[in-house]
Parts: sequence; C-alpha cells; structure tokens
Amino acid sequence: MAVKVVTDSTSDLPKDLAEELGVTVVPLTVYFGEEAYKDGVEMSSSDFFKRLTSGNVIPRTTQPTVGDFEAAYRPLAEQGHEILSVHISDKLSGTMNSARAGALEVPDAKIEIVDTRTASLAQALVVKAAAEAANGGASLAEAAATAREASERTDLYFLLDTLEYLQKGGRIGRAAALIGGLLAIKPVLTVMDGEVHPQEKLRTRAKALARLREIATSGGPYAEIAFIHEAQGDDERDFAEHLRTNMDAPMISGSIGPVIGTYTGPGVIGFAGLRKA
Amino acid sequence: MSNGDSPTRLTGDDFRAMVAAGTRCLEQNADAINALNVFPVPDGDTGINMLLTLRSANDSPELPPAGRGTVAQVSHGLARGALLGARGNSGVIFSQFMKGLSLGLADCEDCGGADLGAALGTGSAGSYQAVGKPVEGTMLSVMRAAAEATEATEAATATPAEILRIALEAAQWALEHTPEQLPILKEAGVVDAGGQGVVAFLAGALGHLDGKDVHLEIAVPASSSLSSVSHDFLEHTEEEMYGYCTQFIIQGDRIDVDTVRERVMAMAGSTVVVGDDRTVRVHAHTEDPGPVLSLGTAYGVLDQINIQNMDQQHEQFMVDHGYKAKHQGFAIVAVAAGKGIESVFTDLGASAIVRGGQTMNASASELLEAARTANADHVVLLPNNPNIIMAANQAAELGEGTISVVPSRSIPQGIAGLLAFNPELDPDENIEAMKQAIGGVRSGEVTTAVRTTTLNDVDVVEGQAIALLDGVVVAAKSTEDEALAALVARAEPEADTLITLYRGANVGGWQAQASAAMIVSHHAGVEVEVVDGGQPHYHYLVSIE
Repeated sequence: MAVKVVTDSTSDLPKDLAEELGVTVVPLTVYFGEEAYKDGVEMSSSDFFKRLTSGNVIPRTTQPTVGDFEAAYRPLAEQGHEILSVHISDKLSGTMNSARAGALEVPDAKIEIVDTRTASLAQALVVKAAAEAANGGASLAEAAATAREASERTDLYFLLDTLEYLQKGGRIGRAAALIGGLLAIKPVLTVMDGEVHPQEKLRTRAKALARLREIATSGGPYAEIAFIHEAQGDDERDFAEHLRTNMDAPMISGSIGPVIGTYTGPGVIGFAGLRKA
Repeated sequence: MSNGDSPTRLTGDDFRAMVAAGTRCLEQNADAINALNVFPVPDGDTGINMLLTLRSANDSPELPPAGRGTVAQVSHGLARGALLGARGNSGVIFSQFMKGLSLGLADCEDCGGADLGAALGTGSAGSYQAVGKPVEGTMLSVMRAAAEATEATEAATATPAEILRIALEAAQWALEHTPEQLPILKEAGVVDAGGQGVVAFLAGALGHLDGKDVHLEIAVPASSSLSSVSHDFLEHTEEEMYGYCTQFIIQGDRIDVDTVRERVMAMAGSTVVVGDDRTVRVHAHTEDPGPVLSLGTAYGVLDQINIQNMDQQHEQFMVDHGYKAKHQGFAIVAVAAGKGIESVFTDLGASAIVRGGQTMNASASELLEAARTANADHVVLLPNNPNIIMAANQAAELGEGTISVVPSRSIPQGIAGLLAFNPELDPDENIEAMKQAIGGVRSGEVTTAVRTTTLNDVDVVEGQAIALLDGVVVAAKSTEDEALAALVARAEPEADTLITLYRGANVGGWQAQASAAMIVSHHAGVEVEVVDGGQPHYHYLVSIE
C-alpha cells in the first residue's frame, strides 16, 4: 500500500515528469465550437495554439466531471493505495468541487484533497513536492501536509501578450480589466490568494520581460523553480537562460497546456517558484 | 384535488415520473432562473446547469427498465446520471442532493411520506458535504429548510404529497430569505438562482403528485425594480458581460430540440433552448450572433429575432440605476481633450476627466469640483499640460490635504504616470511611483503655427505644421506628416523604442498608418502604435518610450 498523487491538467505538469513521479493527471476539457478535446490527451499544447491563432473561435473549457475523478480514484483504491488529490485554486476553476464529489463516490478509499491556491507550473511544483514525499514513504497525512505547506510557498509570475483571453474567460478581476483598452499593454500578472492579480503594466514586451527577470531574481530564495512558456523563440530562450544562470535552484520547464492557454492566449512567458521553507 | 387522492406510497415508476415532472418545471423556468444568477459569478447559467444535470439524471443508463425497478433502484439510477452529467457548481451540488436522496431511499421497495421526508434529510446533508465552504443564502439553505421542515412533522402517516407540500412551503420561505443571508442578492434585488431552481423542482414534483399543472411566478428583476442595486454589484457585473445576447424562435417541422440545444451550446454561453418539434426558442450569449442564427436557419424559419449588445445594455443599466462614483480610497482625475484620449485615461483607471488642454485651460475650481465628485479619500490630479499645473496646485491647496498633483506636462506623461498606478499600493507610494514614471517618457506634438515667427532657431510661417519635442519647437514643415517625421528623427529613437501616435480629429486612420509605416522603415527596431485620440488642435500627440 502506498500514497498515490492525483492532479488535474491545469498543473501543466510535463508528461515525463508525471510518469516518473507516478502522478495521475485528470484532464479538463477544451472545446472549439462543438469539438471537445481532453486537455493534453486529445490535444497537445502546440496543436492548441496553432488552432487558437489560426481561427476566430474562442475556445471554452470545462472542469473534469465527478465521473472523471471517480474513474481516476477507483483503480488506485482497488490496488490498495491511499490518494492525495492536488488541484488548481478553487477561485479559478470548479475542479475542486468535482474532485470532492468524485471522492464521495469511492467511499471506501482514503482520499485527501488539497487546493494549491495557484495554477499551472506553480501547481506542478506543489504536486512534485507532494509526490516526492509520498514516494519517499510519507503517510497520507504527511504527504497532504507537505502539499498544503508547499502551496503557501509558491510564487507565480507571468507576462501576457494580450489580456483579451483572460478577460473573455472571466478569470480576472476588475482592477485588471482596466488595463486592457485602446492602448496595447503588456501586463505582468501574478496569482495571489488563489486569484489573478495585475502586478505591472508595461508598454513593450522587452520592458515587461526585463521586469519579469527582475522579479524572478529579486524573489525567493527558491528551493525549486519552473520556466513557463508557450512559444519557443528568442525571448523564451533568453528568459530560460536567465533563470538557469541567475537562480540558484533546480528548474523544470513546462509548456502551457490547452486549458490554461485558453485564458493566457499565445506568447505567455512566466516563472513559478517554490520558496525555501 | 384533495390530498387524499394522491397515492400513499410511490412505486419506482411513480418516483421516476415525479422527478421528470420536477425537471419539466425547472425547464419551463430555466430562463428566469438564469436571470437571477448573480452568485458566485453573474454568468446567468444556473438554470441551464441545473436543468442539464437533471436531464442527465432522467436519461441515466443505470435506470432500471420502466415498470421494473424499486424506488431504491430508480433513485440510485437517477443519482448516478446526475453525478456523471453534473455541470457547473449548482449542478454538482444538486447531483449530491440527488445522491443523498437515493441513500435515504436505499432500502425502499416503494416509498411513503416518512421515507421521502427522511431522504430529503440525507439529500440536504449530502449537498452540504459536496461543498468545501458552504455559503448560506444559496440552494444549500433552501434544501436544508425543506429537509428540516419535513423532519419536524409527524411524518409517519403523511402521504408523499403532504411531505412535499411541507418541503415546498419551507423551501419557498427559505428562498425568500436568501437575500438577508447573502448581501450580493439583496444588492441585486433577487433571490438565489440555485435556490429558485430547487423550489421549481419541488413544485413540479408536487404538481405531479397532485395531478396539477404548476405555474411559478418568478420575479425577475425588471429595470424598474432595480433602482436599489448597489454600486458594488454594478461594478462586479461590469467585467462579466460582453458580446451579444441573441434570441430567436425557429419555426419548423420535426425539429430535434436536443440536437439544436447541443449545437447552440457548443458555440455560445448562457444557452437556453426550449420548445417542441415545431417551435424552438433559442437564447444564447455569443461573441458573434451570425453563426448561431445560421444554425437556426438550418432547422426552419426564424422569427422574433432579438439581438442586443450586452456591453451597451450594461452601460444603459448603469445609467438607469443612477450609477455614481462609489467612495474609494484613491482616485485619479486627469485633464484631457479628445474622445480617444479620454478613453485611454478612463480605461487605465482615471475616475474623472476634466476637458481641457492647451487652448482651454481647466480652472482650479473645475479641478476641485471634479476631485470632490470623484468621492475619494485622496485624489491625484494629472494636469497633462504646463499651463494647467498652477491651477492644479491651487486646487490641491483648496483641497486641504486630500488632493495631490503629479505635475505631468503632456498627455504622454500623464499616461505614463497612470500606468505606474497600482491599486494595491498606498497613496504616498503611488504618487512617488507616478512622479518617477512621468520622467520616463518623451513627448511630442504636431500642431499648426498660428503666426509667423522664429522659435528656438526654427523659422516658422503661419499655417505651417510645427513639431515640438518635450515642449521645444524642433521643426516647421508644410505638412503634418513631414513635421512628424522630423520630430521622430530629432528624438533619435533606439531599437526597441515604442512610439505611440495619438492621431487628432482631423487626421484619418490611413494617413496615420502611412506615417507609422514610414517611421518604422526609417528607424530600425522601432515599434509604432497608432491610437485614435480624436484630440482637437493637435494633428499628432506622440509618446516615445
């Protein structure tokens, strides 16, 4: 019997890392018009952004169903495992509710559900910490405590090319809505208390990138960091290189998946950090 | 019909028919329930989410064949369908209610009033369990009221109809009290949408047992009753509405309503599609009404087409309800002229604009009045013109410590200052950040010379276009675009510089775009953005950063 970690696809946890850690990823669904795709399973990140930028259909997303979670939990429980389910902020998605209801469907299983109060690679860093604890022999209670405690130590900063997608998806508050408008603004955003907040408003991508580099190097100290990106151009390469050379912490790289990409739009660059305890 | 005529015990089939009747009642009222939806986000989909969840229950593959199942088997099958098809938070909660109901009926071959009363209790408990942080004043409170009322009755001898009647009365009572529990409902002048959904479901179920058609009166807020809507609510809704509210009727023959619904839902939000095989009513919120209308024409003839721009609706709503600035900690008042320039300032968070500029200098009293109207503890003035800084300083003196001036000398400086504003900082930090930011941008102007003279070693002839960089004349040319080119050349922009051209009321979009293209071709790595500023007197206002 062991503790197994389950997360959802908004973690943007790289596939090979998920396999290595033995983490089950429950996908959300992204819709283009009438066509439904399981996040990261039936549609890859690169296919998604190709589709997003080539057409004029605004995709929509839905949380996993109760049945999806039940289907993830049941086989693990039948193999005798206990389950730690680690998810996106419940202020950004209803995924937590589906997970909770899914757990009630497998009443004999021991399942703990943790809200990371963040998303994307910051969520992945929490998942990784929890899975490493579990794989190292931690009990369910201990692994859950690790996840909760790590959730308190995450930083997530990212810059968007446009706020259009975040606004259309309704995942941003009023203050941030003001920074769209007639002028093209390159916003740097953060996730605080489980919600998206504007951090800085800059006029050019070059200035926004410089600010993002500053924020990264002045933050921390970090036990682990993640580089977050969509495209693979010069900006991305330079930013990853900056993180690698200036930050004294192991780094994972992850690309934004279809569901998170629905809200960030193309061109997103960011970093996540797990501050040292 | 008297209570005595309704059955004392329900079979599996009776139970199924009762849930189907509840679903129909919910469907008939889905539109009104959507309209009540303000919590947790006013996205107007509670009715449709609950309906889809219940439909999935009625269509559950785990239901026993008609005429064969016990109440336990039927309620279990219904609950499974609801769980697997639950949509949205209201749907997930309702599916847990259905599941709790089935747990309470797990031993029932058939069910009497007492069984049903007990099952409402387990249903309510189940729904609370589904939610991380239960909020009172929502459907949870309504379910619990129904459960507690039936628990308190002498249920042993009651018929199912009697139990449901008690449950419905209590649910209705609880629903009416939801605005007292949840302030956002009170502000919006509505009852809770999910709670109304529960009442509709119970009413439909009871109507079935009584053999009566049910007609619910749901008070959807009309604009007349909404004058009490609070500013918090208006502000909260501001960002949630966009696109077009599209409604129409399809008249056709043998229309499959479910297929139409699925296809509309795939392309739009807040969808309600109801009707029969000859008349289908469609309601949808969509970025572009075209494709939804085209879809409709594939099924029949369209009638009663009504498309409304929700952004405009919302603006009208704000005006109708006497929106005025809410008291705030910190507000910014900017001096500007031109529709586009004014929008840039308000988009970026300025609370008020005082019209003015080079040839219409705003007075201290106008600035003071605007600052007072902004209704804030602390107001920052952005004069955006050297000739208005004095008046702004005077307004600040009259404001007795509640008004500060960030001495922006141009529109580009004012915008740079505004961009540095961060609502999460305190006023002093903001003022400091804004003062620093106005120095980080160079400002250019292209206007028409009103007299012949020599300025700063530049010979100027009346009627020529003159260019000023940071307030100093740098060129006089025969056209505004030549003057603009000279202005940019004088600024010697480095690569990665962003130049924003605010074109004036007399400069066409194509003309400005042509100038922008020329600048890009002459200065490597420079980015140019054209904004329709609409300002008078100045052909171009230019920010270089």
